Amino acid sequence: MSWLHSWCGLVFGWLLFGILLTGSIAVFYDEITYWLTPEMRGGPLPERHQVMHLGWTYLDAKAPQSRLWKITLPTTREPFLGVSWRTAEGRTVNQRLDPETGAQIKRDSEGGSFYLKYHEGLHIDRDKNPLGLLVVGATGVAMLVACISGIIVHKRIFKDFFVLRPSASAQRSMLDLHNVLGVMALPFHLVMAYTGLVLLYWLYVPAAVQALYHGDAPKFRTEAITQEFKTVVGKPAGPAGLMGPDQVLERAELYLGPGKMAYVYVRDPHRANAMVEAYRMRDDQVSQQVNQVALNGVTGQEVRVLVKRSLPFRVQAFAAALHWVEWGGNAARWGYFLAGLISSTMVGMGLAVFVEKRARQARRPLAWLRVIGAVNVAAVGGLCVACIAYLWAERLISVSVHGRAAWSVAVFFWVWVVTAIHAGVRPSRRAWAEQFGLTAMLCLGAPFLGGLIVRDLEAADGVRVAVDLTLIGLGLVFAGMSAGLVLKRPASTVRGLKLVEA
Amino acid sequence: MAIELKKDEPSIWQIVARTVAALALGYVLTYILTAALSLALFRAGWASRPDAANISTNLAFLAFPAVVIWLFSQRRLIWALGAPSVATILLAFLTVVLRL
Repeated sequence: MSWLHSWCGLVFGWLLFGILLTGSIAVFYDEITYWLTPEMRGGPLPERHQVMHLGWTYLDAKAPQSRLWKITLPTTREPFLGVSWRTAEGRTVNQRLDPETGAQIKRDSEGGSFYLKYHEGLHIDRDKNPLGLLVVGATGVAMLVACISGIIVHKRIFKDFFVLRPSASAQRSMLDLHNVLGVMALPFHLVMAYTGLVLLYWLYVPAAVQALYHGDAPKFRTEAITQEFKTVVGKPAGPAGLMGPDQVLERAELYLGPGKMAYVYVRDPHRANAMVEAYRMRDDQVSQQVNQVALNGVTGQEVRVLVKRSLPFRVQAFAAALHWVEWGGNAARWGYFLAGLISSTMVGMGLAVFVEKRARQARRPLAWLRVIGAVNVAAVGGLCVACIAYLWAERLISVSVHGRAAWSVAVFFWVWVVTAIHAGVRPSRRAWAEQFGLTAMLCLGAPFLGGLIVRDLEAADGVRVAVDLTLIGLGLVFAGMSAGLVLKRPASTVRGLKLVEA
Repeated sequence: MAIELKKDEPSIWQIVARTVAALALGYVLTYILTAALSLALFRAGWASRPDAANISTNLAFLAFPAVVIWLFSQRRLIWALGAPSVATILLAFLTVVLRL
């Protein structure tokens, strides 16, 4: 069992560290997008009717012939007006507008959702290749295995929880830290690993869809929705005069609650069969369940009625919401961010213990252990550098550069490649110290790119200043870790070790 | 469950066999369990078709880590591999019987 924990932890730990770290960062993906987009204005949002009008007239002018419009109203977390429409060729165009002026935000960027895409599928486009998704799913299973086998391996789990020997040998204190962090956040680890699988269950194990639907996944998803709703056939529509934006907002919020409409689809605008589907915000409920109202686009009558919620889908939506954390506001997001960093640190420490323990037992340099040590540095230190290098790329690449979003992503992966080479050629301890040191410098420098932090402070922009300060805080932590590695001699060479351990 | 492999580092063939089994048998058993459970729930009238798919898949996820732990906790290889293999064959049989 100990063997399972060590090796499963090592092989999947290399992947898991990146998935956990990007997942922790992705908790704040909206805030990061906002921080990376100077064109977005914070502060009080304009009146909702006014914004709805702006989006509506924009779509009417840009895409009057389109069969599908979407308008996303701004929120404090995403303070822009989103418009999108389907073209005659079936392509979807997405645009972000200033909610006050209607000016288009022409910044080709993935923003904070880059971390989300890495977290869910290693940034491999899931529509083109499900491999990334499946690898992350397998890593989720491995995390469950590592948690359970870790508990079994650890016989004195409760007693050892209170043991931390910072001045003992490096291996001991790292193992203690690994144990403390592992046990402290154990419910979080288990719940996140399991709910991560529940989020996209039919993709990971398509057996039931195969058995019950002969592999027709769209049919399964349609049936899952239609079993809860009944479509009411309205009277034949009269003249094809589409409802106005005011009416749509007011009628939709009659059902969804005042101020609760998040986005709205308009199907077949200006046609007799026009339909409006409005979706509710999820910030005040621990459920990913779709909450929507469908209205006849001409008469405003409800055309789909909720019959009964399915209990299994409610449970699944609850589990999914535990993972997605759209609820609970900033307190929940900070909790998840810090717990996620604890998970990442636990995995990083586990990887380091693997090498330390075997190096000590062997008492001579082992070639294969040297390789594993280098991969550890690249998987942990290198990923930290790459994550922050992405922010630098986003900050420094001019808005006018063609294919800008792809360039920033490329910077992330190339920086990671370079750190892997660095880890391969430098002595292990130096490599750790240098990569943490570089992460520290990049974290500390990011808020000052283009004098950003000064502007944020002047504008008293709470969200941007919070991102700036978080980066500085993380920079100091990394600087501390780097300095610790440089200054503190390996504990095994410290004289008087026996005294400390006794 | 708490039976440990005798030595800390078991033989390479033991490791290869158990690792391959953990990945392959773990997934196959999870897959077949999902299929059998979804068909049983639907056929028995305990759940609608989408509900059956939902319940079975989300419960079967738990089988995967359980199989992996089992494979590495049993001292005898034949027993470690045998039990999940027999379970897979029985569930596969059930799936064929209940198929739509």
